[in-house]
Amino acid sequence: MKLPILGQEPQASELILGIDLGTTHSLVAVFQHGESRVLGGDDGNNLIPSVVSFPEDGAPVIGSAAVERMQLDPLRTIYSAKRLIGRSVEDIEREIATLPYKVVHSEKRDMAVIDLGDRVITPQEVSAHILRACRDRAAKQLKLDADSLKKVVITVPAYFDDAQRQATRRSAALAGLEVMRIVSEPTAAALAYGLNKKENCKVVVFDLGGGTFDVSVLELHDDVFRVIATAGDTHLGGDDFDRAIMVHCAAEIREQSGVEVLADPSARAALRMISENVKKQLSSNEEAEFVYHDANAGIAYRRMIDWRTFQNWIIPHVQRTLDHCVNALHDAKQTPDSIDEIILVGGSTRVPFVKAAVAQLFNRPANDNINPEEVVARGAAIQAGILGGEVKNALLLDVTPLSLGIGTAEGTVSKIINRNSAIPVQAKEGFTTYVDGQTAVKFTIVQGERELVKDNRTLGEFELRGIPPMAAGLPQIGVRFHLDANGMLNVFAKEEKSGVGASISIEPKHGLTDTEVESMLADAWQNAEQDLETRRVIDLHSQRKNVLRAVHKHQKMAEENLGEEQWQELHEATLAAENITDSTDAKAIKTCVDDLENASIALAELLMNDVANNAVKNQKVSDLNS
Amino acid sequence: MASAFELLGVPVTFNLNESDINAALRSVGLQWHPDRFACASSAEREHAEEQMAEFNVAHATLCDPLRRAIALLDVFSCPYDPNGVNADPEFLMDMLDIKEQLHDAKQNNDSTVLNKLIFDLRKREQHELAQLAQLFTEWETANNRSQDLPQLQQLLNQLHYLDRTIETSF
Repeated sequence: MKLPILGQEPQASELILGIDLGTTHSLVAVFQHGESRVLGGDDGNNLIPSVVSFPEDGAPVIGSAAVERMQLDPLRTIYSAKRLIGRSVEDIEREIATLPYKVVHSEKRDMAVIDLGDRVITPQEVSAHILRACRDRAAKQLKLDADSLKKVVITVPAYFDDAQRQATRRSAALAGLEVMRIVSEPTAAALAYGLNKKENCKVVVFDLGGGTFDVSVLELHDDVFRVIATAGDTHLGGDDFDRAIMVHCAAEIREQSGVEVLADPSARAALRMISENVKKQLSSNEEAEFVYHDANAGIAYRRMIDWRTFQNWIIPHVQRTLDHCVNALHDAKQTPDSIDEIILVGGSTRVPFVKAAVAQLFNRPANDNINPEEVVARGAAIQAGILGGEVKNALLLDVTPLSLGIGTAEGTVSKIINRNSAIPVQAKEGFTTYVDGQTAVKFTIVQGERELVKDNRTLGEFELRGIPPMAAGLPQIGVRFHLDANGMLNVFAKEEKSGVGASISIEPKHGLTDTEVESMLADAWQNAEQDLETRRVIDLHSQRKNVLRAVHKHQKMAEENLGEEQWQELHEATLAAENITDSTDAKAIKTCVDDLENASIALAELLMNDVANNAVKNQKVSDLNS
Repeated sequence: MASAFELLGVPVTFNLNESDINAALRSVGLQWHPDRFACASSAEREHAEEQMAEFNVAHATLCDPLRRAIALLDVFSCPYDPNGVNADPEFLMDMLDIKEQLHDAKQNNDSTVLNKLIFDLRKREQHELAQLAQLFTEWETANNRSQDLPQLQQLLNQLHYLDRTIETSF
């Protein structure tokens, strides 16, 4: 017989991961030994690009390896899935136009899905892969079995509506993870900023991420973080800055070369990356150069962009962030002067113009001492610590960003829960029947501030079934709407006259059903993960072939028109690239491809001028340049 | 059912200050927020969800002077009846006049006039709120509460009206 050992250590509670599932990149953090810590990858980089590539012939590739496939396989390499999640095609038409991959409407689910050609995947699946990658990174760094890490806290933009939050939770379910709490990103940031500060103050969190913008006003008091008001836009972020650069330069390329460069998915992916780089450079430099070459299409485009030009391009977007700040302050009954600190969150707050605009609005510089890219993940880890009991006496009190209402027969909205109500919160509403013997009642739930149903986001049509047959108007159906601490809606119904409450069922009509999630779950992880190195080699070879094809196509022209040195360089690089066909050394192939690409710039410029002048035969490149 | 005052454990009076109401919410939150029950059974967690939802509704009620006033009337078993009293004719005339001016300012897209009108309405609201607080101080301790009730109700009606006018003037 075994006796219980006195003084035995209590079993350590299960570790909960904090995950910042971002539009452009994601991070995973944990709370251990009294502090939050972001977990880095083998390359020392803490950011996991939120990109998943689905090669035709193998397992999905996630993160930086997927970024490498963006240009190569633009139709099957998915980024910014967060912009699609829980939305319909109608909601995001503007964004879809600039995405290289194909987004289509799914009748069945009434939401946007991605068409890979041979199959359709949901944004939830894309996010599930990213969440898995986060978990796997954590397991590796903490030297734990991946299957032992099941519980997560996931952050979402404060302005995410019910459908977007539900879809995010579905993603976690697909990844085999249990969401302990969904936390708003700005709230998480405030937590990371203010924990253990023990001061009582009011802060504004200005969170401009890749694809979303949130601003929250909070009151901090002895480690209780109470959100007073939040405002934002789930279609506003650094992506819009990239797009502004991309659209302007694409228009100039069209003028110069006559090529509608945005029509080509691969070019679109390339231009987006170049635009993003230019934007980043402009955070620390006065000007940056936009360079784009495509020998195949005959494009060689260069342009200097100074910070002033960039600023002019992004003014409308920045102005929108300021308008939201004013609204949030108004809802919180605060003025810029009553705020003690402004915290900048999100990579896009590195843009100097954004920083300056915020400082001007609040009449003081914003706090940029904390790493704007990591603070949300650290906050998620602290919230995980609160849930797990490691962080004592700290608490988050959050609000719902959008009003909740019921659609009336006339198409107007009757509000039942106001925006910026503290969550969890509930409201009760009575329903009855209009026809004798009616056993079901339908109603629509919407989220948003507009007065008409059609202008708001419809959360779903709910149907109350199983009402006992009675004369019209007699049944009294009490419906309780409960917005939980995750900001997600639960609906409970009860017929109060007859008391048959339990049998009345409510069916939301959107998104994925539980059975669908289960079957997808089974499919998703069946493929064993292919060796990443093998994947890279395959990809690099196909990239190599692409460039070679372009060079071969214009070989005669190159030979006749390029300067001796340039021709020699191109010739050697071509030979090297041709001779590496059987190599499986990714590094060597990469070097060859890079060399060949660089050597072909002169040819691209030549072709560009050829298109522009329409007759340059027998001229040397040196003549063209003079 | 417990009143908002009882739920948050604050004195049953109209004259509460907001920082006390917030402090009360923090203290029940530390005890009852579902985050405190993350590792408890799902039944306990659901119970916490419901409890906290009630506390949050109570907090919102107490933070809004008009809703607080109505909750207080309920506690004293004198439910608020908007149709129970006649409006002050002078107030009505004023409001008709202001509404007309608001309408004109909006038609002419004159934001200066519009802002001035809204500013004045807010000032008037503040003034009447102060009056309401004064009235409640006396009423809460009065021996015969029904005597001053019509005056309270009338003031509440006016404040509701002002509130709506301001809300719809943007």
